[in-house]
Amino acid sequence: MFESQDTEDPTCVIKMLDEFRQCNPTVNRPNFIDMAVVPTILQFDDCVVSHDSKKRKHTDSNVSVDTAEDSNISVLASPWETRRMKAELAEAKALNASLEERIKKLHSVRMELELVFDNEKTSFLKQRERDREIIRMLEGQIATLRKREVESRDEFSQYRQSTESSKCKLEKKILRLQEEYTHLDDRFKQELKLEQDKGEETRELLEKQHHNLMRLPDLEREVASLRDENRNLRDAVRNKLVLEEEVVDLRSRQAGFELREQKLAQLDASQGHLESMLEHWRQLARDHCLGVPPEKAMAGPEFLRMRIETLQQKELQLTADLGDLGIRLKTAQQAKSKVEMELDKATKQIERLQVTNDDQSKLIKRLQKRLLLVSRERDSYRSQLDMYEKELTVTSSSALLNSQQQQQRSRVEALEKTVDGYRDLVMKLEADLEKAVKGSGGIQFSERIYKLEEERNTLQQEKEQLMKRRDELEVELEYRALKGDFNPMKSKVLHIRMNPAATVEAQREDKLTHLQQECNRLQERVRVLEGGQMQDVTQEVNLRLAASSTQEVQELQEQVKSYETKLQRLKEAFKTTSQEYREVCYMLLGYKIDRIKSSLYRLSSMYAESQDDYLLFKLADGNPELLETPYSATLEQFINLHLKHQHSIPVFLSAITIDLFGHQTE
Amino acid sequence: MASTKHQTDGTITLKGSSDLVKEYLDYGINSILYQRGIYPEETFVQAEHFGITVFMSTDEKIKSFLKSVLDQIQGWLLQKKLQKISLVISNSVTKEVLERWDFKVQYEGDANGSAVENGRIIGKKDLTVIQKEIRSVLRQISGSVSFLPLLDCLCAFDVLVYTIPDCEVPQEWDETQPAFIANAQELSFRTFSTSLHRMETHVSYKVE
Repeated sequence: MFESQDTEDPTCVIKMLDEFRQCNPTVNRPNFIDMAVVPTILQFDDCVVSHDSKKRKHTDSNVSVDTAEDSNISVLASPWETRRMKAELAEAKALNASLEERIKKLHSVRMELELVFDNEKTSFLKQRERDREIIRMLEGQIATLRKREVESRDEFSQYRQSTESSKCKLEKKILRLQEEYTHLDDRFKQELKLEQDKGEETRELLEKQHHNLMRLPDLEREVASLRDENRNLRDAVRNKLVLEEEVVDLRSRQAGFELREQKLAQLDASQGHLESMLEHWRQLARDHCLGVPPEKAMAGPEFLRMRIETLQQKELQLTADLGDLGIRLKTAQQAKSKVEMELDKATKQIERLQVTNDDQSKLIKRLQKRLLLVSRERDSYRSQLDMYEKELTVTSSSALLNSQQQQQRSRVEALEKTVDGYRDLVMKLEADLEKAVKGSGGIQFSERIYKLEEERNTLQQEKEQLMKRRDELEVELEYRALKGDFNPMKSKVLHIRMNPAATVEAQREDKLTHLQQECNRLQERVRVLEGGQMQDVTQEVNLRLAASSTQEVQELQEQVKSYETKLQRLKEAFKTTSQEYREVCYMLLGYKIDRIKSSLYRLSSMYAESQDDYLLFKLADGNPELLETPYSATLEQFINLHLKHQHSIPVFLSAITIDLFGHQTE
Repeated sequence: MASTKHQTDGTITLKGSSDLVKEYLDYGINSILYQRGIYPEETFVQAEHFGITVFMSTDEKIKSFLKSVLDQIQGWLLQKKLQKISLVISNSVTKEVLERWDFKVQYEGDANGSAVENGRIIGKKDLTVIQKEIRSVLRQISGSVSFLPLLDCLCAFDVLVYTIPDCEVPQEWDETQPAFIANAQELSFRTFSTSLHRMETHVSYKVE
């Protein structure tokens, strides 16, 4: 069918393909159709347009071919062009042939393809059926699944709710359990600690026990050894006691032996000594007992005794002689001492006499010198006198007396008097000198000399004593002078007022007062703070300090006291003076004036008959006015006269006094 | 200084001798203050006098005090009214006298080889000899610190002047009591003489 159609109208194939396509739109259209169409497009690459034009030729109608052919025919029949046209025709025919072959191929292919398509279609249909069935199945399944799903969702929600509720419950339970857990945990921990401690204690105990146990074999060994030692020691002690007893015993014996040994040694020594002594004695005896032959030397003691006796007798005699001689010696010594004393006395006397002699000689020399001087003076005076006499004779020869001469004469007379005096003096001295030269042997003088000597001795002794005392005092004075003592009589001590020691002392005083003040202040502060006041502490402190007894306050208090005493004294003085004054007034003027109030005075007369007779005066503007009293009522007369007419109170009062005095004397 | 002290070598005037004594007292007192530690060592500077180094105080108060005291002492020395100068060291707290340094003055102007020249009293002694003597005394004072007891309390010092009784008291001066030390140990130092004045130096201190 197809082949035939193809040969005639190639476009029929394409029409059938189109129909097929319309029937099966879903079948793989693009592949086939494009495959059918594409090769045409692709294989022919001269010009697509030409192919399209050829397709159009094929599809549309023969019109196009015709046109083409027409065109070909209309052209001028040129050889070249015919040739070309023939070539073209040949080409076209070839082409046609090829195309037809191709078309056949394509038909075959198409048919194969159609077969395949059919197979595939059938298979696809089957598949589709199967798929539909499957789909139905699946849908059924889906439905069931959906139902199940819904059910399961319901269940799920139920389960969820239940789980939630259970969850809540469980959470609560969990909390509770946690609390319990913590609680139990704590308890557990505590108990664990306790247990631990106990465990530690037990461990320690165990360890100790273990240690002890470990030590047990050692201890056992020690015990064994100690037991042995103990046994040994006890034995040793027993032995020791025994040995001690022995030792004591031996010691005592040894002491005894030593003593005996010492004694033995002493005895040996003494024996040796005694033997030697005996030998000596024997020798001595032998020596002394002269004339005795050596054979009888053994009986020496008797001879010695005899010898001794003789010697003793001789001794007796000699002692007697000695006594005598001693007595004689003593008497001789006494005589000698006496003689010596006399000798001393005599020498002293000699010395004294020598001294006096020296003094006398000195005195004599002095007196001789004085004598010489005096004699020389005398000679000079004598010569002067001679001169004066000569002068006098010379002047007297002139026989003219003037004042000068008179003066000279008076002078001469005076000089003569002095010369006489000197003469007397010279005579006295000569007499003294003769006396001194003579009188060394006179008894009077010796007595005087003796007295003078005694006085001189005492004075010398006193002098010595005084010298000693003076030396001592000088030493003491030096000593004390070195020590710094000074004699207020001899010196005075000065120093500058502003000296460093004084400045230091002043500084210390200042510091001390300052510290005292600070101390007071701080004490006040402490008291204030202890009192509980926290603010304005400084103010309070200052107030208190000012209020408490400071120096100023003390001074002021003292002043106040003094003023008070003054006041007291003044009061007393005033009292006494006022009392006296009032007494005097009373006695002189006759009225006792009492001040009752500030300007009210009461007068009572000296001569008043009774205590109630008094007058009252009031001080008004400086003038006293009489007030009514029972007594003044009786003095109307006087009042009228003296006060109203005379206007004089003193006269009134004196009239009353006179009147009362008159009454009294009556 | 040298010219006023002596016109010819070896002559000393009264003024010159009193100057020497005053200088000796100045250096001596300063040395004692330094050695006995009355004032701290930092307040002293070294100075060269009489050929040895002496420690002089730099404290103005001490210097002015010493100046006024020594001027007055020099005046009294020239008038021959001075007998003794005492440097008293006392405990500033208890006022107890711990040490007393005595400088005794003896006047030997008229008897000891002096002559009256131009109406002034002149002494005959070589200046170097006097200086040597003063030097030895000052050295002795410095060396005395080794055996004098330690003063370990705060001390203050005062200068007392012993004069003849009829000496007028200047305005700033007062009469006082002399300073006694009970159970005192005395020591004498060397004396020096300027041929017009003779200075003896002693120290009395309390024995512990």
